[in-house]
Amino acid sequence: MAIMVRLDVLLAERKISVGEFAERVGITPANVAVLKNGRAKAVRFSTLDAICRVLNCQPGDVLMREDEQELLSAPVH
Amino acid sequence: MNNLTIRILRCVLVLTFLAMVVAQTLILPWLSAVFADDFPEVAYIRASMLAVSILVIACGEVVVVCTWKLLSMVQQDSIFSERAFGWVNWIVGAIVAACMLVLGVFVYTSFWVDIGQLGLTMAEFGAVIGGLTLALLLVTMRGLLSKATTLQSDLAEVI
Repeated sequence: MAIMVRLDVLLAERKISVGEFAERVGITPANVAVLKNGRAKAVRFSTLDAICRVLNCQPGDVLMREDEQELLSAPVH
Repeated sequence: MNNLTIRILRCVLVLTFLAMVVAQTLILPWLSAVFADDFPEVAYIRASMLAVSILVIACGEVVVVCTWKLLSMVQQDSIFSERAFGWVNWIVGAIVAACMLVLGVFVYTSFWVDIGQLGLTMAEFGAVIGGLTLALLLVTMRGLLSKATTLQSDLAEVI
């Protein structure tokens, strides 16, 4: 999946635990894990709204797109 | 479906099943004896006809049991799953089997033995057509269930 959800970084910055984050957003901790691992296929706007409210950020801060083609053809250091 | 509807349907299913068992054990053997007395010239087919009619009622009992199971799945909210398809397939299979049995009786009593009761044989043919139509309707419903199951599993993946 080329859309990444940058929860690890933001949760660490805000110092919120996964369990507390899940409870405040209103989703299960299992779904938080699915979001973090990049296995999520779809997210409701209402969920995204809640995530941004809890983390006090914009959707563009928490969502990132990685072009898979660029990843594959990136020069190896 | 609310609980009241499910309970009423369950009562109807139990009554239907009981009626079928009574028909199989009491009514049909008695009816078979009456027909054998009224038409002694074809009394020799009595045993096979009784057996076939008991089998047809047994197909109906299979349908009742499968419907009960599907009703339980509706109550537990697990109707949109792969498991439901097996039970629907059994219902369709039972109806088709009953139709084939009645069709066999129709062919047998019309062309082989000739019981001379045109109205009865026409009723048998009508029952086959009706049963096959019902099976076709259930196959259509099965397609609907399949679509709903796909949509349910797609929606379950949305966080």
